[in-house]
Amino acid sequence: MTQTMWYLTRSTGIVATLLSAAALVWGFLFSARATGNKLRPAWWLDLHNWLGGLALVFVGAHIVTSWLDSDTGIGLVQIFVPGSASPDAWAIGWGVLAAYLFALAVFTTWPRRLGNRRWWRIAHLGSVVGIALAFLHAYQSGSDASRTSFRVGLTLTAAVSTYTLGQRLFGQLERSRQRGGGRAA
Amino acid sequence: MTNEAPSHEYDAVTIARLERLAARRLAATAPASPNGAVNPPARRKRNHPSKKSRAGALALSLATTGGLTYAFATSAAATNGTSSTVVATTATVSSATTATTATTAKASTAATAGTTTVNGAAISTKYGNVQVQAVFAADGTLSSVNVLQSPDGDNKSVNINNRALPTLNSEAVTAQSANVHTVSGATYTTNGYVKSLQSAIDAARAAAVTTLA
Repeated sequence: MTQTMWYLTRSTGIVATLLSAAALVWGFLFSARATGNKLRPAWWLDLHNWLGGLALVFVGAHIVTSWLDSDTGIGLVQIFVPGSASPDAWAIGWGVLAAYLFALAVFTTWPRRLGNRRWWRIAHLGSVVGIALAFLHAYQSGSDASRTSFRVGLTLTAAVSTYTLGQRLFGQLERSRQRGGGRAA
Repeated sequence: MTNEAPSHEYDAVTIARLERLAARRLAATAPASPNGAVNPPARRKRNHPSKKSRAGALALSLATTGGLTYAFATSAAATNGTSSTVVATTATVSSATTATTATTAKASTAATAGTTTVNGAAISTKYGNVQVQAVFAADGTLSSVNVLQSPDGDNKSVNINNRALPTLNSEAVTAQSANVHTVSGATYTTNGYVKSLQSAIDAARAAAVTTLA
C-alpha cells in the first residue's frame, strides 16, 4: 500500500507540474493575443481555467498521497508549514509555497468579479512564481530528478513556459510603445 | 503592427455575441403564468467552449498518472530482482568479512591506538544494501558506528537515511548493543542496520575484541 502511494506521489507530482505549466502557457498565449484565428479566445480562456483547476487537483492528490506514504516522514505540519520537513527542509518547502500560490491563483479567479481586479492580477501572477518553485521542488526533491529523461522533460517544460512568458512581456512592451508613439504623433 | 483582426470583423463578432446573450437572457426569464405570477428564472447552464478539450486533458492526465505509476512499479520490481541476486553474493562476502576481521582489527589498531574496527555483513533490504562498521575502544566498548552502505537508489531513500542513520548510530552507542528502536518511516533501513551491527558485534566477540552481546 505504501509503495503504491509512493508511486502515485511521484506520478501525480509530475502530472501536476506539467498541468500547471500548460495552464501558464495557455494563459500567456491568451493574454498575449498569440492564439491565432483558428480557435476562439473563449476556448483558450476556458481551457486555461480548466488546466489551472486540474493542476490544483493533482497538486492536492500529490500532497495526500505523500502524506499517506508513511516512509516519507511528511505529516500535516510538513504539508502546511514551509521549511518544516527534515531533512531537505526547503526542497519540500518550495513545493509547499508553490501549492499555496496555485491555490491563491485558482481560488481568487472564481470570485474574481467580486474583488479588486488589480489584486486579482497580482494573486494570479503569483502562480508564475509558484511554477518556478514547483520546478525547483521537482529538481531538488524529486526521486526521478537524477534520470536524464526527467531532466530533459523538466528543462523543455521550463523552456516553453519561459518562452511564452517572454512573448507576453515583450508583446506588452511593444503595445505600450506603439500606444505611446501614437499619442506622441 | 498588431495581430488584431480588422475592426469590422470584431464588430460583427461583438454584435453576434450580444445577440446570443440577449437571446439567452430572454430564454432564461420564464414567461409569466396565466394567473399573473412570475415564475423564478430558470438556472442558466454555463457554456464551456472547450468542453471536448477539457475532457481530453482530464483523460490524458489520468492516463499519464496511471502510466507513470505502472512504470515506477515495474521499474521497482526489476530493481528488487537485482537486489535478490546481491543477497546471495553478500552472504558469501559476509563470511569472508568475518574471517578477515582480525586483519582489519590489527590495521586499525596501528592507525588509532587502542581501537578496533569491525565491518558488519552487508544486509540486503528491499531498497538496497545496509552495511555498518563498528569501532570498539580498547576496553571493548562500542565507541562509534560508521555506515559503509545504505540504500541510495533514489532521493527518497537518501532523505530517509539522512534522517534515520544518525539516530541509529547514537542509539547503538548509547545502548552498547544492536538493540535500537526502529526509526519511524525507516523500517527497512533499521532492520538492515540492526542485522549488520549485530554481525559486527558477534565477529568482534569471536575475535575477543569485546564482550558485548
